[in-house]
Amino acid sequence: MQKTATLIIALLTTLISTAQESGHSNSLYNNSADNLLASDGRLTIGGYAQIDYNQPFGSDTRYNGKLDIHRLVMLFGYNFSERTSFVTEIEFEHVTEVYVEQAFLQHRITDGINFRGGLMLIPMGIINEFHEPTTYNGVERPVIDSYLAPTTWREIGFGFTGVLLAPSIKYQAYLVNGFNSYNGSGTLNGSSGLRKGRQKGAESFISHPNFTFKTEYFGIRGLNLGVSGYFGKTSSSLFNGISREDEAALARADSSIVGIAMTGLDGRFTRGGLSLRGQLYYTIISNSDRYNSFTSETGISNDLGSQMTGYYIEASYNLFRSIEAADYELIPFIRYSNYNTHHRVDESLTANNSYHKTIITTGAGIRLSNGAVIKCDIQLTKPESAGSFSKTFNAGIGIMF
Amino acid sequence: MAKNLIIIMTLALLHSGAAVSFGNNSETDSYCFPDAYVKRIEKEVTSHFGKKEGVPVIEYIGNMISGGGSGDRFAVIKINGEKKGFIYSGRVFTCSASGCSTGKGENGIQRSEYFDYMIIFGESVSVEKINILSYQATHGMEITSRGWLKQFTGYNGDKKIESGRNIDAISGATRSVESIISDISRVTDLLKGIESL
Repeated sequence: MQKTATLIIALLTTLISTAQESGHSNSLYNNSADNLLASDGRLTIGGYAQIDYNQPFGSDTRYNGKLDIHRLVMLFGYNFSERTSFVTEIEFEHVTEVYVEQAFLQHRITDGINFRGGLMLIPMGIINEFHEPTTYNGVERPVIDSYLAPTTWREIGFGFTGVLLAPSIKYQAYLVNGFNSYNGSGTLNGSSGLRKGRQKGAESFISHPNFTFKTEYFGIRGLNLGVSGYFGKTSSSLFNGISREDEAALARADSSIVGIAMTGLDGRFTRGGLSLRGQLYYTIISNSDRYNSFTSETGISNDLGSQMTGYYIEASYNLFRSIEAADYELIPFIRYSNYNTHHRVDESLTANNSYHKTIITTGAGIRLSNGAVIKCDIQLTKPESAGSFSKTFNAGIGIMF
Repeated sequence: MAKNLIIIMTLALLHSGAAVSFGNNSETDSYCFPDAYVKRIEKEVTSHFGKKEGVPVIEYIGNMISGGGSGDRFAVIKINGEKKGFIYSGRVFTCSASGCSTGKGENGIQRSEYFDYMIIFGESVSVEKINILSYQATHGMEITSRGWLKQFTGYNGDKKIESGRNIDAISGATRSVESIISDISRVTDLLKGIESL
């Protein structure tokens, strides 16, 4: 009897769905977009964009403002099966630069264990993985997520990830390609930290694999706590094509790399209209003395630090949460950030206190819907070497779909 | 479409004659919860309703062939023959790191980003407990927190539930939050519709 009932349900459902579909498929001519949208549901499409206006103000010097389509990213994915999918992000940065931000294959081996391989985001901190403009406050990403964790930080590698429901743990652990610290000249220094060493999967080379992981605990309402790590040596073009017996060449190549041990602690908490988040990075760089000497230019030593630190704390509140008639969210926020890429330097260097900066960012976002936000803020920046804060007004729109 | 589905389901119930007691025989296969979750659901029901008044019995109402792509499954909880509440279990497809599906998400479509969950409703079709049975999405796992899911307790469809208003938003889990809010609302309406017929 139950089988009969199932058949009746299936038959009626088919009849209704067929009738409905025939109602809007009269056109014999579909363009490629129509075909895409009428696909079988395995294709996923998304995107995000950030359009910014940055205007320094409040000093005796006049500066022009900057208007920029900072990022425009298209996301595509395909589900080959319930277990296997492919994800990619194609990014236009500042309109003219094209990058692939992610391109990885994921396969679920069993519940809680997924294999992932390809060009992947390094799971360091909050922003590198959640970098869409609707997911953070402020027009620009937090500053420490440019100089300490060089977002958007991605490299080619493989590893495993999964969500373990019983202990409320998510883990990620990957072997990935490291930073390029030398390719004809040194790429790492005190002013930009590790940022210019990212290889981004573009004809990248590897001499040393790196290990990275992140573990998150999400068992308490509204709370996510994360611990992340990144360990390994950078890669250098000087290792390519040298004899394993050539000690001089090996020593020279060894001088062109550094060891990196980066740890991150992060927390996010939301209750009611209140949101709090914080991030701490601590990076130890070994071999920086040899590296700085080796990558000297015109007799001036490079200035990569031997330890780098950075942190921020942030609070925000949705003022419209309890106003029934309000369709929007109005979210003022304040963030205090501090970073120092010369937290420690090797003995041959003197710490440059212009690399130790305090940044206060405050402003508000109007969330028009979950995927669209208008933002503005003022960012005050003061290096230890300066007597006062420089000021920038930022405004922008952010979308994600 | 929702009304059509309710009618279809009701027709199915009329044809099936009576709901089938849990674990009776293999004929119940098409009307049971997924094997992987049967014990978990039984345990949750026993834990929630207790055994003081009598052992809770799960009687299947039926499956939805078509719905939100979730393979909806409904059952009644009875103690000593008296209706005490309902159970629902189903699958919610979420968006992946690469965005949302371009298709309609009907049954049979294999997608890798989803979670399975169950709702225990009281006899007046108000939410009493929600549990995530399996979480296979890349992000948004914060919605599995029991504390967060308790926000839905008492929901009966009369008042709209919205992220950021009467349900806490979760940074980085926006799509999962929206997905489960939408599905709980849909399932509650569906069950109320069935009950009113």
